[in-house]
Amino acid sequence: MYIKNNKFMRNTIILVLFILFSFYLQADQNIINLTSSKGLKIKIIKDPSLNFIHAEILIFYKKKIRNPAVLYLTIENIFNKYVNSSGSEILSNLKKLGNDFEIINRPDFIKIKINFLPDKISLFVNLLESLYTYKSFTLEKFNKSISNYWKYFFENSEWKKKIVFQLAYNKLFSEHLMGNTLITQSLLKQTYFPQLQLFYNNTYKLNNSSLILKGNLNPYVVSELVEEKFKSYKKEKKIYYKETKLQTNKKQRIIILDINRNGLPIIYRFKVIPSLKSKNHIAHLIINNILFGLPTGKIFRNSLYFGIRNLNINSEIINHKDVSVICNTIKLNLRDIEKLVFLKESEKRKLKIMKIGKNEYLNALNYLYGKFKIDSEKIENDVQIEIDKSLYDLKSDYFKIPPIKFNNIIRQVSLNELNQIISNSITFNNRYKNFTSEVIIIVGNSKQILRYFTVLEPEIIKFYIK
Amino acid sequence: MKKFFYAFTFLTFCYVILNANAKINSSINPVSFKLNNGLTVILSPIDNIQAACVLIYHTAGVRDDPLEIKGASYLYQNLMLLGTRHLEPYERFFFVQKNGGTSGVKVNFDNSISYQIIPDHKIDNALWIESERINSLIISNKNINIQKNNTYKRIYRLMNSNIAFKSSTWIKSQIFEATVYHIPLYGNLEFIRSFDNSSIKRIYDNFRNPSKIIMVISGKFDSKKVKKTIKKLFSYSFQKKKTIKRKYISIKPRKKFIYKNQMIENIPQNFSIYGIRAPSKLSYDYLYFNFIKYYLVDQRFSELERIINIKNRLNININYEYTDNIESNALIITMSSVKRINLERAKFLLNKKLQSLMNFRISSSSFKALKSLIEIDFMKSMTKLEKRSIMLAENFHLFGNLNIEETYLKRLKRATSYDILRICRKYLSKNNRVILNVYKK
Repeated sequence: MYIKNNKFMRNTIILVLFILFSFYLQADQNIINLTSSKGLKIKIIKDPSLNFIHAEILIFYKKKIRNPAVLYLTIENIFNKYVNSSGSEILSNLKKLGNDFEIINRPDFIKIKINFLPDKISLFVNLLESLYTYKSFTLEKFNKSISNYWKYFFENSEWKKKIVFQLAYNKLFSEHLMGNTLITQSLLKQTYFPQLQLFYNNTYKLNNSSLILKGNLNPYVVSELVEEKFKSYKKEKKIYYKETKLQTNKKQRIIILDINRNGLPIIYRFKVIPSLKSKNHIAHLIINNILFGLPTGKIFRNSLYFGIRNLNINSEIINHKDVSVICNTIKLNLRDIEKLVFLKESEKRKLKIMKIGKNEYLNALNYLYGKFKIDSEKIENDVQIEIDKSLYDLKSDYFKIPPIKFNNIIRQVSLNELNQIISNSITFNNRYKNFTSEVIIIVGNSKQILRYFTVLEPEIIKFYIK
Repeated sequence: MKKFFYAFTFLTFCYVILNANAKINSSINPVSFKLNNGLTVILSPIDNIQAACVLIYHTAGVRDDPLEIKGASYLYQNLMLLGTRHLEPYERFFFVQKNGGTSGVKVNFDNSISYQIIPDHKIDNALWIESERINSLIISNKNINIQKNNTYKRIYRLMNSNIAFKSSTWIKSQIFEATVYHIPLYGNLEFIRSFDNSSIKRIYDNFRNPSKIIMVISGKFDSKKVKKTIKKLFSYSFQKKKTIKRKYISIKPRKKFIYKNQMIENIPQNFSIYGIRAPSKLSYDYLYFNFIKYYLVDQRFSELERIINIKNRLNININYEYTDNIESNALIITMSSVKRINLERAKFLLNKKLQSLMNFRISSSSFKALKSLIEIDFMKSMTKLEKRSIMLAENFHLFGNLNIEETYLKRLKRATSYDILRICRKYLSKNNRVILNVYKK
């Protein structure tokens, strides 16, 4: 009997261990982390319901390059179809994959997004090979990319936003890699062909990149294909650059970006807030919603009292390692710009004196809760969460990880803490303590805009199209 | 004891396997049912997200308007946002915004669409708001007059200041000559302000008529709960003459070539607009014509861009528009340039390209790449709640089935370059083209 019982106990323990192991596997089977022998970090998000593969390649900029034109021109030389009019291996591989790709150039990394069908995974690995062993830089292409830089720039439908972001980052982080964004004609003239090759060789490396794939994929097949393709790729030692501490320019600036075009102006307001890693990050998102939210935000609600009509506000958050940046895009009539700047300042000060009310706090939380849930619809959402987690070293309680729970968000910051943060960060003498760098850029015709300015004296930067 | 042990092991295995399968099937096949009043409901649950879309697809659009107020339905694009018995004007829009979602209303020729994308916990509120819009919209004479005047002013301004808009309107009227799409969506500009208000109010019945409504709920929701809410909110009685189900007909390509030149002072660029009548959504040709559209003008592939701007460096701006009608469509390609000589060369190249498409099959590598791109775009659309819901509703409206993914992909996989050649010969012929050249004086 004793022996029998012992056997039963052993079987039960094995069974319990098996169940625990299977639960562990299930919990983790959706995300698989791999690192290739040549240093490429691969993350696979298994989603059997997705009938195509969504891939994102991240290549990091670690060292400050004096001339930011080098960064942009490298991308143009590799990916621009007009520059590569005689064809290139990368473009031909992209075409074979379906040509559904997008290049996003950020101050800290370049992101290449590609969608393709699962049966084309080996073609995708061919594309990776052509990207990391690119040898088609030619002087002819380089000259073409320089001479046509502005032509290609203005062909992009979002060129205004692009130049505004370059300018804003340049003003916010002028002493850092992140502020190395603004490209001018004189910088283009100072760019030489060897600089591009050198930059490519130092940056476009497997051990300086991350690959995230989402879809119905077998991770081992991907891993084997990558290993096989990069068999002869020379393994390089990872170079560690000393990271310079990010310092933001504390001065508040108002700039008119004069593009010499009539029509309704667009106002971009950039505000630096604590990074995703910081506990105060979400507090600043709440403050942004209380001020700029639509329709519950203070600015929208009080705009009519200030005589501001047809106000339209959008908010976008861009995350970086040490900070995050909120960009509010505001569309309104010419005559209302100055009023809006004053309204924003007065509402901000009122926040400190009158404190945030419970309703406002809950409305903002409710908005964030809804927004994070709505974001789960996007294919890129969980890819972005994984990128955030690994880039910004976030813990498992990151509030965007699904399932989104109201408690997880409310736990981040209480109403008292929020009011404390406000009273710490806003002072009356127009000087700001922590993370309050702010730049307002008004895009339009400076003559038209200035006609309605009576008190403020904004800086004017001309950006004319020939 | 032993028996108990084996039973426990077996059950555990079953649980693990079922759980694994549940993870794989995150999107469950859509189902449909009808309410007693004739309103059709499609439920398309997706488990791995936390958002939902409430979409109401009305099978009524501008074409259902009485002849004397043709275009009046277009006014409902804004009238639908006004107050109801329990809601203030624009409250519906603000509700969605407050919760981080998006919403929209669109009136087309053949149908009208209203949707809300909201977090899953707000689905009951979204349904209630839609029921308010359908049941108790307050349409006052004052509001109708405001909308009539606003529409008139906006279109009048566009017609008189935007030469591209005016030209595009003319091209469409010629492409769709003698079809239901002949007049613009907003109707005849001259008559908008004199539309009879009580006739406009009567059009509301077209949007209320439950037999003309297909409601699609997609995303994360509890099917049982949602069914119950829908029955409670949308089982209203509606007394109307028996509605006759419309039979749609595929309109054939045009048989007469139209060509017009215009000289205008003070325009920044010369431009040429090519209008091609494209297939009906009812026909298989619609999918095959997509290949031509992608091949010629889609930015990711554009063969026109390649031959005109990359190969011949003519520096031409190429834009396109593709209509979204049921019985007939139009592909409108606009090429513009400051230099007229470049524009003439581009036109020559475009004509040559269209001719070669009618004579030869597109290369096998291009065909494969196009097939991949179309498939990817379709799959991407299916992952977006709004697009998925529209496709489900439209497919149900036209073909009465819900297995859209399977049908579309089967058709796409069967497509060959010979099919494309056949479609090119049918739709790219000279007689099916309308061309408008606008030059600087």
